[in-house]
Amino acid sequence: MNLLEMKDLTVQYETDKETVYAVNGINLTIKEGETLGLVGETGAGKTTAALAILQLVPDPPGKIKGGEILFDGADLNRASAKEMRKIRGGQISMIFQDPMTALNPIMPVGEQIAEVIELHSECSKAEAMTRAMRMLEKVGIQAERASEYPHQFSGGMKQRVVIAIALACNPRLLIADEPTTALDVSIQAQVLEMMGEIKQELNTSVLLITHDLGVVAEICDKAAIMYAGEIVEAGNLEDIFDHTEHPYTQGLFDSIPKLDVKCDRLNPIRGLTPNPAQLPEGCKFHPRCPRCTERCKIEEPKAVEVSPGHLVKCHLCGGQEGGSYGSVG
Amino acid sequence: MGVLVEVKHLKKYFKTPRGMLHAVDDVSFSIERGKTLGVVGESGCGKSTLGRVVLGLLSATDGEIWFDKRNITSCKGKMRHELRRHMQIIFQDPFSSLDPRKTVRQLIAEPIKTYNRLSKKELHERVYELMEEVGLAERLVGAYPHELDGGRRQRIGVARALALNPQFIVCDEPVSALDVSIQAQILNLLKDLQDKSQLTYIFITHDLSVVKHISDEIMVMYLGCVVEHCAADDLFDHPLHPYTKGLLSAIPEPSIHKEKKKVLLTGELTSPIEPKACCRFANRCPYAEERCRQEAPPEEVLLPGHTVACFKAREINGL
Repeated sequence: MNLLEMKDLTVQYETDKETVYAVNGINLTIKEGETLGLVGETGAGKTTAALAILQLVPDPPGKIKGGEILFDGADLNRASAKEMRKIRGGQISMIFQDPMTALNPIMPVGEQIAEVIELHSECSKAEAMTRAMRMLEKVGIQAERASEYPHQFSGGMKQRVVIAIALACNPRLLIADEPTTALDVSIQAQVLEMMGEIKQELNTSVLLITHDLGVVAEICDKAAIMYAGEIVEAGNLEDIFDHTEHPYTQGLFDSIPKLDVKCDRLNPIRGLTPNPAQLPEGCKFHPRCPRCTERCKIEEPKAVEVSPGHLVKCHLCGGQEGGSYGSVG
Repeated sequence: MGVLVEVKHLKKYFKTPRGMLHAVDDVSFSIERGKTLGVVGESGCGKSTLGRVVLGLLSATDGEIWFDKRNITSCKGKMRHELRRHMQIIFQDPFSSLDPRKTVRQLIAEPIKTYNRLSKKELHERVYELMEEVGLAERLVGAYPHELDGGRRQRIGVARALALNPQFIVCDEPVSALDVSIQAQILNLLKDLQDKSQLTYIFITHDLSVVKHISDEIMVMYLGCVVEHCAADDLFDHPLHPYTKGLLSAIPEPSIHKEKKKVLLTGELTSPIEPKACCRFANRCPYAEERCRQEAPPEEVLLPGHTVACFKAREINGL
């Protein structure tokens, strides 16, 4: 069953000068217990999409212009402020990228975890604290450290505290916005492993936002590639990693230096990501696409299902015009 | 080719209220002209400090730095000024390393003006030349850093470093703040420039796939010490030190067919303040024994061109 379903979600930031088209009609579904990786570069609209789920897009200037966000069947775009307060931290919670700024520096970490528990489940202060300490142990920090302040923890430990806060009320959906980007590789591996274990145990669905395809390969079930506010390719891991269809996805893979192949030059995508206030006509990727045709410049491609569950938004893929593009084994 | 940069038993300690912080502790290496030495390690291992001490931006506590067959360790004043023409640095964060009130033209012209007396016309020509070399469009000459994206800003950083035709550049995490597609563009640029003008690089990074791509030799650092030093391919084919093995297995690879044997490193870095004489990795090492906690392992050549500092390396690798 689909826990979260985004239908045609559109978010824009409007200022006096210009309109920024941050999220342009994206469709996503996450099933119970599933982990979806949302991949894209800076400015692709990943974080805006996540904030829209929690109805946290800063307004003004941000506005959810259209579409539905169905969580367990109910449209979050229509939920009242009171209902949303119940959902945030209780049903859906979020881990932010930078653990240094996500924690309150003048409050012991144990209290910060207990705060969420007190708010969402009717229990006494003492009981909330006991549960907070249990949560700390679950993320691999000794319960005795509950009375310490954030500055007494290292970066990886702080991120564990943030994860403990997010998971304290057994949310059904966890949104993790680049949870390991600020961490060293060995610590990243520890945190990812821990997240995987806890997810299994609690059967939480996860929306993982990242720019690192390696992290996606490691812990996700499905992936969606985002470019200029659109999802250009989505599918399960085999679809994305082994049957890459979209030229942008292919470009991302070619840009990463491989550990097992020796090559002298990388093959980057030429050009830069477009300014979301002035998106190009037609396919948003066409100015950078190595296989751009006349049609791509004027007509916007529709998402096509090239194989069950594998959606691609490109004129050149999946029988829209001739055969498939550059499938790599 | 000959050695361009040589560092002998270099130490850099910082004074802190709790004692001496050993940021770089007895590091030695040499780099041949036109080659790249990759320095890898996690945050706090002293890799950036090492780069800065080599350039003379920080003074060394002990040890020697040789550049082009001259001992430059305590080089000061005019001599140092002259030396800086030949050794440059590219910083990690193109957002904070550029003066926000200067235009691209002023930023690139700054190092040239410091060293050469050029007419206005010559100066502008040189700026355009450099912009073309690093792939910045001419129309951006009047732009301010905030108008540019990270990749273009980093290209300004590269142009500034190249302005005086240096022989040696320390690249301190030059691509860490950039998106993968832009990162690849900058890495290609650095490689092309090296091929063209025989540049010598120290490439400091925490990203192991980037370091493999760009380096000829790699040095792995842990809490101020070098734990392993060898040719780039050797490090990835047969890592010998337990820390390197752990690091390599921790990299998430963008492929779904690799069933990697995970050697998960437990724990975190210990404090580099007044470290005891022991292997600094001992408390995270799965193979550590009594001896590792009592004396510091010396650097040993275990295979041709492959140095490791570990008592147990022979045993765990069957050498």
